[in-house]
Amino acid sequence: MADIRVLIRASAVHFGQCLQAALMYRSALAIFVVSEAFAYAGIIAFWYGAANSNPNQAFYKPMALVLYFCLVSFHHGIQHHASSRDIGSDIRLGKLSYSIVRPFPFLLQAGLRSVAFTLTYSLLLAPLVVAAFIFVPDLWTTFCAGILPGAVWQYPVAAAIGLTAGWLVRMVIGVLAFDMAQIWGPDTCFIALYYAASGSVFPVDLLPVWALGIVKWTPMYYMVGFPVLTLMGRLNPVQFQTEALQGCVVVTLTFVILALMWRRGIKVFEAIGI
Amino acid sequence: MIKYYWNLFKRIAVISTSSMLMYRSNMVFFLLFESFFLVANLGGLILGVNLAGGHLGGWSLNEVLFVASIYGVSHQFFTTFFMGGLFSVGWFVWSGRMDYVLLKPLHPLISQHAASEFIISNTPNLLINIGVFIIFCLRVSDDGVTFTFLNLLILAAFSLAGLAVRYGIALVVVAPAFLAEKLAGGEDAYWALTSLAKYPTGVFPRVMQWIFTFLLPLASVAAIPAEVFFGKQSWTSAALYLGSALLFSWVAVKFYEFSASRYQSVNSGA
Repeated sequence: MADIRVLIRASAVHFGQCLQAALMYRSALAIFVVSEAFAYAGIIAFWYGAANSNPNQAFYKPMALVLYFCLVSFHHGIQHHASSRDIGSDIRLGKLSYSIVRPFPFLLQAGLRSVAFTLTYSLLLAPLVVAAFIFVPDLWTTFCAGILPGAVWQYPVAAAIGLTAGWLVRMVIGVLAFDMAQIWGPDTCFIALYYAASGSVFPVDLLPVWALGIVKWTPMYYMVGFPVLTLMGRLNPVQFQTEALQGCVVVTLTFVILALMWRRGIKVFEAIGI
Repeated sequence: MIKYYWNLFKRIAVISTSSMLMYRSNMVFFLLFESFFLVANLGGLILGVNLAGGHLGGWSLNEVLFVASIYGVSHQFFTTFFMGGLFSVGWFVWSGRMDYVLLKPLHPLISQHAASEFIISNTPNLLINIGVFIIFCLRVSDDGVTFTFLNLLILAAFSLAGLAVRYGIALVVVAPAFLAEKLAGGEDAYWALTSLAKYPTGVFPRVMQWIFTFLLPLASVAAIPAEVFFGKQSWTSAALYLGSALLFSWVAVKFYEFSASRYQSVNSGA
């Protein structure tokens, strides 16, 4: 029992420190927010133009695409993209050697860093989304028209699955550092797959059925596409339940892979560092 | 003088090659990453143009993909030869390594590249993207676009100006590192901003077109070279766009020089 109390207290302190550290780098935050806002403004303009120039298509109305990318920019922004590189360098540089004598698990520290990052960026980006709803004409109306009665509980479930999938898959890439001199290569491959399968640069449900079937078995789809489509009411209750179940399976498999890789890696870890 | 800089270039290339060959897996991962990235980019554009009914802002699918292929070559060229040097500026400043970069008897930017490496492991991707560009050249040629030595030369000149814009954007986002204890967001900002350069200018609203042409001339990276090549721009407009691209790049270099002059060599690296 005492161990659990220590764990909870240490986790709370660590979480607070992560929040403080994230907020220290305000210039980095400002550059990130401004450049991402520019990038998404361009993506929205491209897709709005695409939908607007073809009045015959009914799959995505122009404003629905604006809404899609407003929500995507938020869900993309709260992903802790650097966590795999942090874990990888902690292992390769030998920081893990003193982290494992602490009274709480190394991966819990990494997990808390990601949770703190997500919370920080949620707080920072939420006002921008609210401002978009206020100042972009018809955005709120489009949102209200699409939302389904079950979204109140469906969205938190979808977001939880997505965030967990994102944190876990980046940990998997990070612990590859037990066997590799650097994890930069796998990490960049993951980023490319993330862009292809998450729906962060194009509406994921525009993919052909066979391709959509494949991406739904990857964690990337659940990180952005799934919560956004749920929030927009583009998944009917049966589709939501099927995909939520599929997402749980993907998260569980990712966790099992992480556990196996960690167990194997910690046995061969030599605490030398490079 | 030219011989001196040529020898410097060769020296960086030799060191980069020997260093990169030590990490052979990088080449495989880079190839996988850029291949997935290329497929995602082209796939997204195809989905967009299909949603638009086959034409977008006066551009056919092949023309849109031709723009994207110019963007791809420019992206890979930047990644191979300039990324390593420019994106290590933040780390050099933070760790204090910038001290000896600035002590060298060279321009700070050349010195920065000389202290870094070319990403030689990206060369296969550069070649793949050149291949993709040739494929889309053939496809627009089938659509009736005429290729002459002159318009290819013009395309090359405008694409080089686009590369200078890429370089300028990278300078603008990494230079603030000289003014901060630690600045890590520059690289991400560069990727976010330049991702917009793959779209034809016509898809953007007029205000954004103006911004992307004169203020942050992302359109000069791929869209304007293609527009000039297809004859969609008058010579006056083309000269204006070329001028704005070169002016932006010059201002970016000056901004970098100004920021470097503020370097205090007191960063902790902690």
